[in-house]
Amino acid sequence: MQTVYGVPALNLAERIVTFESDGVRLPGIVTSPTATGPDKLGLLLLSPGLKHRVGPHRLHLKLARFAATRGLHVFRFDFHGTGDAEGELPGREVPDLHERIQNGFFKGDAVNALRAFKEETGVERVIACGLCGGAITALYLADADSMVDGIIGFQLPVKVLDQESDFADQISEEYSDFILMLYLKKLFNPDAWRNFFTGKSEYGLIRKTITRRLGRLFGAGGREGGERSIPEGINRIFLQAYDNVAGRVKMLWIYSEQERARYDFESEFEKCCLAGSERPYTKRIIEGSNHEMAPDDAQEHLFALIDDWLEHEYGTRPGGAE
Amino acid sequence: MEAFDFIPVEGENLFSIIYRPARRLNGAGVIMIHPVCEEKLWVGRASTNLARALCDAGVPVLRFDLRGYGDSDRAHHDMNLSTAAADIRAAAEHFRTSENLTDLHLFGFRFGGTLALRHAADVAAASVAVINPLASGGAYLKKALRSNLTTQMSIFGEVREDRETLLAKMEDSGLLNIDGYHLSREFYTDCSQIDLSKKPVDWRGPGLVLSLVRSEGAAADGDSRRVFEACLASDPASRLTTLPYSPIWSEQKIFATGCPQLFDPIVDWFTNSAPSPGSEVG
Repeated sequence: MQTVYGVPALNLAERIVTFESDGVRLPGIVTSPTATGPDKLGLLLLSPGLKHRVGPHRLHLKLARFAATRGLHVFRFDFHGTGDAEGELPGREVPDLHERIQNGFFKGDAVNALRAFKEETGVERVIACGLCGGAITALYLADADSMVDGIIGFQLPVKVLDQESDFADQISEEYSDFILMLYLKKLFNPDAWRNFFTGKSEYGLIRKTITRRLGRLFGAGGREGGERSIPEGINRIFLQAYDNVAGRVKMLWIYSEQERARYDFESEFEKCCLAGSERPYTKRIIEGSNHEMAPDDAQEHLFALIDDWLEHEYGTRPGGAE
Repeated sequence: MEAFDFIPVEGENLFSIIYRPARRLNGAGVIMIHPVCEEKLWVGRASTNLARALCDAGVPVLRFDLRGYGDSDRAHHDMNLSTAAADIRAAAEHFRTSENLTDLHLFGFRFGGTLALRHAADVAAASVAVINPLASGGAYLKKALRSNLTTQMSIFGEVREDRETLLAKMEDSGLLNIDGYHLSREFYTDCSQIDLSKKPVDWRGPGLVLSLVRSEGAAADGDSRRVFEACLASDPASRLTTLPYSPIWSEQKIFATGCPQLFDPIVDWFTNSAPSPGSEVG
């Protein structure tokens, strides 16, 4: 039988756990450790956006079975109104629901899941982990409950896009340059020119990325200064939660190289919001990856980064602690 | 009531949910078979809500994850069409026994519909309802490969490994990455052989094919028409119908929860049109 990333897949000690959250029943899966590890340490996986507890390409299942081999208890569950859970969401417009999630919509479910996790397994310290919406919910959970000792977040969004405004006006200078570079790569691509002349290109985005670049070439320099500033669009609820947990909670932030959220994090959060401050977290970038970390190399890199961080912060080892 | 459980199969586990109505319409029940790769994820919430709609109409429903999918055992690359067949048989046996069913019906979105038709005879299904089934495994895999190329375009701004390179790599490593799912060479080869229009299944109906189309009055999609003609048309009770509705097996700007407009034809099929024992049970 083959394995991927050393994650055994057969007959693991997994059991179904359901719990109540504000009057609705949420289902989840507890994975028990398959090796010795840090005492009473758990990994709580928070679903991305509106997706269920298994995640895109079973990412959460792979993470759960991987963490179990490092000696951790793991719990992953469905937020209300998603997956197999009871409950309904307040609308169906995905951008609106994403915005709600970025502002803490699922925090209550996460708090209740943490309690259920503790009751079911006896964990006393938890690492909250998630992709995108799951990452920001992990931060809100850490702010709400001191049981959260660490956060592993992938593609953490720090800005909330205004759906009524032009996308090109809301992206960072660096991400604007990245998009421009992608267009320049297509200069000798006949298909791209065909799209351009048949009305299929995003002319507004092309024009704005060019004018922003030219503006900086002939105008003002970078924005990094010695004092904190808060750029327009930065999620202030996120910022408050970050300020509350920074220094208390161990944090690992992982981004795909081309991810827009990465540019927001580096260009606006780190350069402006954290100007003159310490950066008490680990940040890693994965090359050649998409939002969901789908390519083989990206998945392999992701698991290696998590493994290193867990070993450094918690002393875990492949196959269990010595 | 919704009961979560694991169903044993060949020493491994299938994650399952049984939706039990407070009062059953008759002795029939429906097994829902999920589509494959990321399409399973996109139809997830609509599948939950369809199961609840059927349950509200008095029909018990079993949803389960094939091995290699969802919360079931195995890594994805260790699933193949043989394990899927064994899983469907095990789920059917478990459901018949646990719910004391007299009739078993199958339902599936997309490739789940294709699997439902392929295994309807194995489990002596009374009827099948499918939404946009896939007639050809080979055509589906071609589209899946295109998804890999699209991912490369979004990451690198160019295609670094074309279709032939990816297939050569699969020959070498035994694995093909589609949206992060690792398809095995065995699955790829077996799936490529599926062609319901040229090699129809043993089972002859009755069945409902619901084709979701872009606009009112549009013809059913080609796959739905081919599946209907080859597998179901010989039974006079079979039906091919269309519904203007977005293709919820891909990413949408509206969260694909499903709604009565989508569910009603399926609920109607299993409660009114499909053969049933007629007597009220439970």
